[in-house]
Amino acid sequence: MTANSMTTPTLSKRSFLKGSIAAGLGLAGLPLLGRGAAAEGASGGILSGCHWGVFHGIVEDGRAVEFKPWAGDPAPSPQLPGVLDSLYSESRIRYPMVRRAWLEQGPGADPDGRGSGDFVRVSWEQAIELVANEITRVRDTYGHPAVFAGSYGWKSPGNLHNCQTLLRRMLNLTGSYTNSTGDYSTGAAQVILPYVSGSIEVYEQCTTWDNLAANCELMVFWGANPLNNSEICWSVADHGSFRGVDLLKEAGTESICIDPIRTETAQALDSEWIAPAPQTDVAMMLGIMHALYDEGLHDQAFLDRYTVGFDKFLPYLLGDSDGTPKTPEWAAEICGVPADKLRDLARRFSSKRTMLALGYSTQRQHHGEQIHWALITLASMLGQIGLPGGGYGLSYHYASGGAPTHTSPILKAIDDASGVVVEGAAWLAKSGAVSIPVSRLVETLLNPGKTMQFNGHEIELPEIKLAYWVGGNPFSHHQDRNEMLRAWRQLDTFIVHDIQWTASARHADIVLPATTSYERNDIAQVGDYALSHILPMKKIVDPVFEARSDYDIFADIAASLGKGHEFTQGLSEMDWIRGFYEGARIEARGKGMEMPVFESFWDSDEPLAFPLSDVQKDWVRHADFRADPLLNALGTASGKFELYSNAIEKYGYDDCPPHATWMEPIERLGGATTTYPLAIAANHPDMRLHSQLCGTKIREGYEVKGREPCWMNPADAAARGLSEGDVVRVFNDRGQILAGLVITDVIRPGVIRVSEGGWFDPVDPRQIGSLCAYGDVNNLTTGIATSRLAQGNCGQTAMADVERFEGPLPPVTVFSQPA
Amino acid sequence: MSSFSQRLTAAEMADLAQTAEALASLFLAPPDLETVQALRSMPGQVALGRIGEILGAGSEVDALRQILADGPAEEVVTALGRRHTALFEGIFRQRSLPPYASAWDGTGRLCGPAAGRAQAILRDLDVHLDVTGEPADHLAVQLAALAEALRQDRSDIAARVLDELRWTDRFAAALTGADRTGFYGALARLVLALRTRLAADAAAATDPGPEPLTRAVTAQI
Repeated sequence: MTANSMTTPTLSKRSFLKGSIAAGLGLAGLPLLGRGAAAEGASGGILSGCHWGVFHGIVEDGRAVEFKPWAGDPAPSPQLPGVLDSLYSESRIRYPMVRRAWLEQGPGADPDGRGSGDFVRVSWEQAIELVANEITRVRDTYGHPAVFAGSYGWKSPGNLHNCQTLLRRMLNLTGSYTNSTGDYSTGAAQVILPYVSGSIEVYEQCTTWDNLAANCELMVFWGANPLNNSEICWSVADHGSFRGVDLLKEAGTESICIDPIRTETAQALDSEWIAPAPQTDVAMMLGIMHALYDEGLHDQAFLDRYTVGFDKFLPYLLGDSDGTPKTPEWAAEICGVPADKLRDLARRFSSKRTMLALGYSTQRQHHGEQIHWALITLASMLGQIGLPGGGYGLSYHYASGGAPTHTSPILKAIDDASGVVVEGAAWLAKSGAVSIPVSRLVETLLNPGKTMQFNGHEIELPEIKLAYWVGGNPFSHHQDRNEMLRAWRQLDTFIVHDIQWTASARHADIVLPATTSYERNDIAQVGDYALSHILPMKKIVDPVFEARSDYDIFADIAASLGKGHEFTQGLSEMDWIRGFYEGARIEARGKGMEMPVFESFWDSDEPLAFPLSDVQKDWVRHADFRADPLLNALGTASGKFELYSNAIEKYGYDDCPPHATWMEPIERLGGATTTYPLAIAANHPDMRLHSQLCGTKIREGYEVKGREPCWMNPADAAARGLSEGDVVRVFNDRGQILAGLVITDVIRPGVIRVSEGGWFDPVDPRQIGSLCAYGDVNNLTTGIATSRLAQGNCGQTAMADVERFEGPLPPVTVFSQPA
Repeated sequence: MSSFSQRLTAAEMADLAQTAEALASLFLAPPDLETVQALRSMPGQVALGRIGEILGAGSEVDALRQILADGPAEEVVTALGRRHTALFEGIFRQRSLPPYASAWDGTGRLCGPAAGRAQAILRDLDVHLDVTGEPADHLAVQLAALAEALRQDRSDIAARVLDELRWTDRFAAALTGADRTGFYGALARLVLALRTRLAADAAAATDPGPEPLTRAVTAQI
């Protein structure tokens, strides 16, 4: 009935009104309240954990009021209040939502409108049906590889609710999909290191902090900042690096920070600060190596016994092969560190027991493969690899690498049903019909059918029409946002599960509200390297709003596709958790340890601790190899460190030569063809985990005028007439963002810092190239690959300029706050 | 404070309770086609009129009627759904206005102490929340609790709910600012009118002099 067809009331007004408002409005009883009071909710402390550590969730009447660090945490994270806020954030996704154009006009409708926010709330039943039908449609129409499930991101810890594994489990059981290979953190290093040292190394244990404190005389943090990135772990953080840095401080160990920023670690240890131009680390290393060789300070005996290929590298170092000796003077011109300082470093490195700690950020740049190779070449020339307190370490800065490993069983996890056994990092598991390098998704979307070289083989890029993302935020971590927006328009459908309205969720077609790990039960180990405890990750509160666990969501989708039982195996959440625990219990028994029965473990208010042996406490990386390089050969073709790779030579990649080589990036500070004057350090942020917690109250502690901070040296600010607290526009040919200026002398001139992970907030979502009102630095970074070998991302390759923003400031709206 | 039944007729109490529930329903979720058709129907129009009368808010109800009649029902459903999402979900290019007390009372995050107090009110009314996961400090839940307090003639609890609803001053001001001539802006003003109506009634109950306002209004109907 339309308004115009209303009839004249036939009931007397007064008689109708008696008790008739609800009926008149068509309200057949409000389904809000039921008879009978609910029992009071749980109160007290509930043990659980997260990327930021072990904590007790303090609950009052079923409502979390505080996340209190576990008493056994040596350095509780100041980010924990933000973790609680993520549970109750105003930007929490509350209901299943579908983009209106997609819902009403079908997949692929109005792709330009993604991000503009016209969503329709739907029921869970409808949402599940839409997702299941769309997977089927895309597979039937384009083939199974048209579904991309290489979903990547930091999600939350827990061995059951690993949403990325659960996504692949559902898709493996119902067909296939395109997967991704590698990750954004170490995309270049993890591909080249197996050729150089025989394993990916970047996620492997380093010589322990205890050993360093006792034996290391010179600790070199090269783009490595343990006091930042060890606040978190991939699993539940142990914060062992904080203890490690304290140990070095107590021991009085000399330290050097090689970094464009005087890091928190450098400040804590009062380290000598050397600030080369970003992206010039290889040149700097070559200059040091040249000085070592020139002064006869290198360890030829080590090179002869433990490495191959130095003879082929040396002509390059000396300039015999290309006419350019890599002298300290040559290096100084590039990196900006005086030649005398490079010689001084060569002498100090070789005369003292020196540990070279290299960070991941150094390889997230054009030709990033070369950095880790150059460092290992340098460490080989120093000849201290495998000695107490010496050599190199690639994880000191991350997840408390170097915290001693306890004697503990391996806690199994739910698998992706591919039948492929996972060893090591779960996110590097391989399954699916096709797999593309993880940071090449944009290139794939824009070039279906194109062939791509990757690590010595060729990949035909699939046509992808549906991208399914869980536990990640590609609209944060992927480089060159505007190119990404162009590529995303090739998709028919983008499905996202998330807890908050991240930029990725805002750009999705179907958005499903997922529970945080504080609304479900799980189990995990503490410390990526320490493995010190097994932790019951207990549910703190019941799911809020209409959020459901990824497990339940995928179980329902699998059921819609006829594979429900295969997905769940008839097991409940607690059945799975108990199964993982019992598996560990059996393994522990084999190691002479008796773990308590499950109920005792689960009901305990403490994580289950495992012992630490003296041997593990004093562990030295590559000591076994050094002791017997034949019996304990490395995983390389030769069994030794390969300073020249015949395999890479055979690939013939002009962007990845067969030995460590200085190669000009497409742009850098001081680069001959570089347009913009300021290098961007797109570092890991201080008070969040990538983009996690950006959408919480904790942001108020660091934002400047509501924007992501942009650090700048006083000289650069003065040259531009800028003042502390200015809202500035940071821009280059790829994009533009707003940021809030922080003027500080802990950053070298010529470099600005805008941390990665700021939420993308385009002023006009329909316009590619629109100003980002908050400050997502990946509007400015390049999307090119490191090289054809690794096809890694170049998130630290970006030059830009900065100016004061004039005109009316666009509001930041991405965090959804009350007016 | 005297009980409602001493000051209001059964019909008035029912009308006020149903008004609170109607507002709750419209804030809880965007109206579907069935609801919009009911609102546009004769009984619906009459019921809206009664809400306007009992709250002394005829112009707000006129605004609602006008919006509800603005085009085919299907288009009205779409427009209201879009507006509900824009205003309350926080995914459009504007700040959202979460309909939760905790978002407005300065405690810093959703599910704050207000949710706990609202839960206690429900317990005291011997009712429980049937909506999965929705915190008890949602405007709709608080309005439903108010309706239940009226029905149970629990003026003490109604007073607590009204006290809890003070956050709607800021909420309604913001909502009116964001949706001045819109459906939800009008609803916000009706929430304030409901609070004013009941507060006035409570005040009158403590003043032995003049005739209770409720009766005066009722007499005019």
